[in-house]
Amino acid sequence: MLHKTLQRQLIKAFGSQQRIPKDLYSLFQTISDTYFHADEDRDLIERSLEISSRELENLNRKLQSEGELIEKEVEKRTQELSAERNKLSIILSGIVDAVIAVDLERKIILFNKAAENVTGYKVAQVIDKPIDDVIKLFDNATQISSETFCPMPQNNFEGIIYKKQGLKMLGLKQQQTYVDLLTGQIQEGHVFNLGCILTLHNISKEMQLEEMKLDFVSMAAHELRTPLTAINGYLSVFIEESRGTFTEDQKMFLDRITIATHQLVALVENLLNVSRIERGAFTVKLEKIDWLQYVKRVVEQFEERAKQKHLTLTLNTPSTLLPPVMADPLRISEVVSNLLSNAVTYTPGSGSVTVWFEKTANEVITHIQDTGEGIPPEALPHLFTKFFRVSGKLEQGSKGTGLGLYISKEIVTMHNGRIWAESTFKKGSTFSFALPAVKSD
Amino acid sequence: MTNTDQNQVIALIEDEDLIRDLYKRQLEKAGLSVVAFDSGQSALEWFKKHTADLVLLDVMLPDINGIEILRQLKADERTKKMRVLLLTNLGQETILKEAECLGAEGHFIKVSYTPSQVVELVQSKLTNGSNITK
Repeated sequence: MLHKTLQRQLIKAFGSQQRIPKDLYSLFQTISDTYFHADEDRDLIERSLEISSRELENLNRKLQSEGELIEKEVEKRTQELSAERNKLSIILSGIVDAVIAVDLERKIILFNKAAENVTGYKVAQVIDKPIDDVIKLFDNATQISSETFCPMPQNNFEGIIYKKQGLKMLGLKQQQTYVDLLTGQIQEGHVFNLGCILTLHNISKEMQLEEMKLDFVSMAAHELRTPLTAINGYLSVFIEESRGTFTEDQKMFLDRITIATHQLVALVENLLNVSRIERGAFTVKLEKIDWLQYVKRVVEQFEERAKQKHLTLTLNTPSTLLPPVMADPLRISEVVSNLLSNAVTYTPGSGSVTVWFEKTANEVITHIQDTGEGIPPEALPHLFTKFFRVSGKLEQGSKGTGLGLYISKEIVTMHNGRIWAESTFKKGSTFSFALPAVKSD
Repeated sequence: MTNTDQNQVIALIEDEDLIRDLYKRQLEKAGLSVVAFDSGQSALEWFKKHTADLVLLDVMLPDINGIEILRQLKADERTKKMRVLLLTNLGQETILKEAECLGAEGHFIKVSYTPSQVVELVQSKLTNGSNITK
């Protein structure tokens, strides 16, 4: 049985089936076998091709569905990411403080809603702009450079790297606000190209209120001075012109009215000084002063009061010459008078008040020591605080305003000096202040 | 009682009646002639025809403030030589510095001065013009 294709070709070649030579039949048989083999091979190939294509199709289908899955996943992740971003920007826009982040070149990469409000800029105007082009910060009149308030990350530091309160900030068109600034950094800053994060708390309203309060205090104090001028003036003229006509009682009454008036004048003066200090309008003009002679003159003014109270008021002249000090004569006399006045007021009769000096390498220290009631230990740390009054026995019959020591401290600080108090309860107190000495050359 | 020349004239510009009356009374008692004004406008009106040996000028006045009056007096050839002493209860350093620049003789805080001290200050100004108060 020959392969059909071969048989057809042999018939074509020899004319008919019968003409095919029988002696070649075994040869044809072999060729026919090859045909059959070829057929088998082809079938095999066809079948495997068929299988492959089916497999490919399956694979394709699988790939397609996996692709779809991936696409869906990507879409989902993108949504999640954008939701996360939205959440972040919603949170940031919800923060009442301005948040500004800058990159390692101090260019703005994040700017929240509050930052827009406080600076006047819109976020689109500032992204990628250097921080210096957007805000300027001032401590009083001195501008703070962005290198200072916005330092670049170093040594893997993480946390608050700069902090300053009550800064003046200029934004768009010199829009002015007052802010408390906090600058933070994260450890991975370098990795994310994140320089630092500024948080600005707008305190303009508080500043405005504070200013109004100070204006009110100074206005009220000035208004008080007008009637006080009249009371004081008429009283002094009245006493002068009627001198010698008063009974002992009348004299005592008038003395007391005078004392009370002077106290009121001093109180108003103190209130004004406090308001000046807080407004930064209180200044000192330093000049070279012969300190011993200067203090001597102030002490002399208290001799009469000390005598009346039977107090011993002494000024110990130092054994070696005191160097001159740099001080504002008008302001520093307030300090010496205040400390002496306290010592004389709070030391009971027959006690003593002693002024003595100490010289260190750079300072002249003045001590005002009394044998009075002393100050309770718990009150010592608060003595120089505004409106602080020692409660208890000291308080009785005293006329303090709780401003004298606060003002003294401020004045001494303006002289680059120090002021402090030491006291043994029931034994007495020593108030001391140090002023920078003028170096002899 | 005083060695001040009787003919010397003090112009006192102060809107507070109580203070104006008191200063006027005490200065006149010391033998000085005092022309007193309760407003800046009335004083400027008077200065159009007169001058004074010393002007006591309140800083806070209801119509024109003392600094403006000082400026006008110093801008006029006829009145610019008059010595002006400012009275104030404000004591604002910036204003006082401005006054000094404009040519004021000095100032005093009213509440810190008794009327006799004011009279002494005025007399010292009249006899010794160069001795400027701080």
